[in-house]
Amino acid sequence: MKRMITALLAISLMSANVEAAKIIFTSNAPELYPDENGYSLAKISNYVKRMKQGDEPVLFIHGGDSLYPNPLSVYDKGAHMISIMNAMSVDALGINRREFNDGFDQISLLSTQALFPMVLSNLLDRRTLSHVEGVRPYALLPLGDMTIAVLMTVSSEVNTTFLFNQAVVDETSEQLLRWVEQARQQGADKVMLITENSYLKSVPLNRLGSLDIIMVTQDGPDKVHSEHPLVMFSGGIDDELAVIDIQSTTMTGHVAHIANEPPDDQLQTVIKRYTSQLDVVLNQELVTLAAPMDSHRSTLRSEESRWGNIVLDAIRHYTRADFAATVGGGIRGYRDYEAGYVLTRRDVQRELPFGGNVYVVEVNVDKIKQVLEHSVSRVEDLDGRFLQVSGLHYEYDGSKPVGLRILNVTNAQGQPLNKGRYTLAISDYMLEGGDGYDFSNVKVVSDNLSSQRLTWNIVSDYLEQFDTISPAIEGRIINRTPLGNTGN
Amino acid sequence: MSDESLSIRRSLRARIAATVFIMVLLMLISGAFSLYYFSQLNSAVSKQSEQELPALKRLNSIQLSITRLATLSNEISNSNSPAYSRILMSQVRQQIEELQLSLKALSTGNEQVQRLTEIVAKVEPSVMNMSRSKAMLDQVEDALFARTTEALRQTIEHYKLVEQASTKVLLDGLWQDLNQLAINKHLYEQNRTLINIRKTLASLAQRDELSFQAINPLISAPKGVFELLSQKEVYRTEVLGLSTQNRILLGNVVDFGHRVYIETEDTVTLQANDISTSSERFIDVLTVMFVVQLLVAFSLIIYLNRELFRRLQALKHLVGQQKSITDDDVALFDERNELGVLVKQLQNYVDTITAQQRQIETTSHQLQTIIKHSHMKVAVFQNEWLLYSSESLNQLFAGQELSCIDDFPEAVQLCVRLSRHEIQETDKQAYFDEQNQHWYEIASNAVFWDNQQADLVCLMDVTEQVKAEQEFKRTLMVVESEAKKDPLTGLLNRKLFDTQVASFQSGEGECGYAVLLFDVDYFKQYNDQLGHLQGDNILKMVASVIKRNTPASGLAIRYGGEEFLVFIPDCLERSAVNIAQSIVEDVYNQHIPHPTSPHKYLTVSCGISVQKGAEDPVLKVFDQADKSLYKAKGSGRNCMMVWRDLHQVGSQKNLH
Repeated sequence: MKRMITALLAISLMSANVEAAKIIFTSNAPELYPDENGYSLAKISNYVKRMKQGDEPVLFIHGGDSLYPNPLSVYDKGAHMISIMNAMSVDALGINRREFNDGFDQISLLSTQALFPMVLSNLLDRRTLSHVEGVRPYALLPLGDMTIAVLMTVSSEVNTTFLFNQAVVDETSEQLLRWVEQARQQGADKVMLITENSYLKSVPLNRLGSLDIIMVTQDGPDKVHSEHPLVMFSGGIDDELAVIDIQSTTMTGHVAHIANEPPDDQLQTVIKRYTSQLDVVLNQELVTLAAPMDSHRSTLRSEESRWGNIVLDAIRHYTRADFAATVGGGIRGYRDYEAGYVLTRRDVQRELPFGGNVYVVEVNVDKIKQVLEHSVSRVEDLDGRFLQVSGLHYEYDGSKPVGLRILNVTNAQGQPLNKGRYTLAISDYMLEGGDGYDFSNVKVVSDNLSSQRLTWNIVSDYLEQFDTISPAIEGRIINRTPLGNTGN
Repeated sequence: MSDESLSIRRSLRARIAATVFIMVLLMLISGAFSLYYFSQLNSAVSKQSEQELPALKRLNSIQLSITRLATLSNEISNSNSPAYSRILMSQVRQQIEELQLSLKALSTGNEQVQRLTEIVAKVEPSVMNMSRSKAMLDQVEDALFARTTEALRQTIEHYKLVEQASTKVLLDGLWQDLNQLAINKHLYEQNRTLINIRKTLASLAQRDELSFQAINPLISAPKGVFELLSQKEVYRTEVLGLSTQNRILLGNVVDFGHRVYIETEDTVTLQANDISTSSERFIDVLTVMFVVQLLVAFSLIIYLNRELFRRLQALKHLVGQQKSITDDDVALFDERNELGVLVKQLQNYVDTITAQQRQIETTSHQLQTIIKHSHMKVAVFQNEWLLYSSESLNQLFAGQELSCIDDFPEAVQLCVRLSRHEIQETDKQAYFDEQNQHWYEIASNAVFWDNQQADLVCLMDVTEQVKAEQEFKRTLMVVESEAKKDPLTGLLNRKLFDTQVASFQSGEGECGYAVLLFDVDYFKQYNDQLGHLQGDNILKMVASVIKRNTPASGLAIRYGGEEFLVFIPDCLERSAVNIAQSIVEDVYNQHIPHPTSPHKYLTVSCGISVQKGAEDPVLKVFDQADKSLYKAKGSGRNCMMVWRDLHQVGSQKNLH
């Protein structure tokens, strides 16, 4: 308490000198390697450092969704990213959904290694009914002569995607606003909430009027949504950063581009600590593309994808199952490949950053239909649950009510499914109930040994056997939704 | 020629031989196929057991090594003692060495294994680096602990020394923060504590120079708490980074190992499947062959049944039941194979037989007619029953009921039975009709009578023949005895002696035989005086005397003109002497006057010899008797002399 008072004292003493300040924000940046679109952790780091070395005080707030998915995290559960964030002088990290890929305890462990506070306001560990150990409901950060309170809320979907009902998620505004009040009482001049789109569906913006800044994490183009309160969307593997300029009376947001920023050598050194010896693995060339393909988010989450076909073929080939289906949300390259491009293990890992394993389950036709219905149940939102498939063809109409959208299911030869039992290869994520899939009552027929391999290795092995591969659309998934009725 | 080729193709023998050949061929092929397959199977299985399975085993041990390596690497990153880290490091090296050895043993141009080796090579320096950073980290942490402790000590000491309350507050805050620094593991909290410490130190510098000078170097100077903390963070990050990389490398090693394992396993499974598939195929082929063999065998049986067995049955029927083979019957058989030819020939034979049978029937009918109209004594039997008997036979057995063979005399029955059993008749059966004193000869023959097998018995009257035969025999006997007798005396003649007696061998009797030789004394003078006719009478008289006195077992023989011989088998010398004496006396007692004899009457002399040794021949004994006769002549005649070996002592007996 004494320290706190001393700190507040110091801040109030300095406040007279400061006229303006900046908050830099990003999220959804788990990728370790630079991208052609200008994305680079080293460039972000350099930008932040440059800003921090300027006259204005600067905070670099990270909106999370970045410990995962990332190939290294498969091995060190995100430890490297915490180190990198330390080196990038992140001032606070909002614990978002994907941070929970390895559960609560991993976050607790990582919190000790962070040079910044971890924040999550509306989620309790069901085991203790308290906040995740090492994570605080809000953080008070000095910014020049001001104190900024940072809060973070996630939607209850985290229970279906990563925590599988281990969490108690508060999707009301009451408790949040209590925290805001408490923060203000503790001296917060500005209160910033980091949240995600799906939370705002339960708690609309108009209920969050007492907040000063709302940063919505997302995988897409950064933008300013509104000025009062300042609402910005930001995040993704791109060259954009959200920047909030705080003047004595006004507060504005803009999007900064870092493509032309020189990379930060220091951060590169840090990254190298984690990657210096991996080239022997990651630079292995696998196959040459005979035709172009892409791994765009919208494609993977609403229609048949050339790349998705290859991934699923690889899984089906490996498991020798009748069919294979995995969620489009598990593929995250979000990029274009030209014909003649040589895919490496690095590319495959980047495309399938969750690692993940593959299981084969025994299903009947009804179960297959149920699974496919679930796949397209939120296709209009481009939800990650959308299934890419192999060995299976299906047609859907997104305009129909949920549960009645699948129009036709056949096998790859176009014949209806009339066998009693089929084997279906799915990801461990789906088997555990991720994205709301229910495989709790199905029989797993794959053996333990074969289910230990990581999906990217399965796909890499598959690709390695060809010299060239020709990505193609084969009519596996046909969208029969009438035009102008494709949701958003 | 074309007919012949057709028949070869149609020949049952050729067809059966061909079928059996096909079956044997199939058996040979399936046998060879089995042999080939089993050798394939054998080589596949031995390949698995010699190559793939050891590879799997080695892969298993590689997996184990990798797991150990991963554990060791983890332990190093968590180790608190540099010594323990070094121990672990040496184990890592050992483990890597083993792993590389195993990989070398496994590497047979497998790309995955090569990559695996490459990655494993990276692991050691990486783990080594980590271990080094870890050692540095440990060192820095030790130093940090020492510095912090020292700073705490100084803070407490100066707290005791200073008196100013505000300085005491500062020192108290510093002490708390330093403690916090030592306890708190959260970097963020540590950082905030550091900021506080910096501020406190700045205030202290203004308030109490002495304590600032004592404490500040421990914290802010080079090798102070601040520097050590940042160094610690650097090393910690380094360890973390290397540890992550090691995990990734090892993870990849595990995965590559895993992949090689799965691939090898797949190969083994594939091979096993191959073996299984090929054995299934093999079974299929064998089954097909078996079925084909079965079909061939079955069709052979059907063919044989249709072409041979059924035809043979039909043929048996034709031969056994039917008397003739019609063209329709022949049409049943394929004339182009052996059976057809056989049936055709059979038809010819049967036709011939039928024709001959008909002829026989006609003939037997004619015979019947002839028999019925003849006066032969004939009976025809079928089995035991009388079918027919001729009138003259009925007359022979008039008064008897004749219905079956038992009503006939035994000779007739025997004859029929013998002829039925085809026994060669050695003696013709004969029947004697006592009533009429007639002889009949019986003959029996098998005949067809009214188209039935029957026995024809024929009785032939042979009475005349028998009578003629008997007469002839009698005549023959007379002739025979005439030849042996002397016509004048009626005694046996010398020829008989020469042919029969001379070769006589004494039998089982105890005694030998006796030869008695007689000679009429002075016969020539008697003849000359009284004429030959009287001489013949004299000879007849002597012969009758001799005959009269010769026992039944003896032979009386006229040996020469006036010489007589009596041969008595099994005779004692005494008996012989008695007989001789009787004869000599008997002749004298006839008292036939002899004009020139000193004895006045006609006399005879006798020489006797009895066989001594069993082997003595008749002629020797005869010669001895002759010599004895000569002695008797010399001794005055009308006497007898007995042969006594060399010394002719003899019993000369002069009767008068």
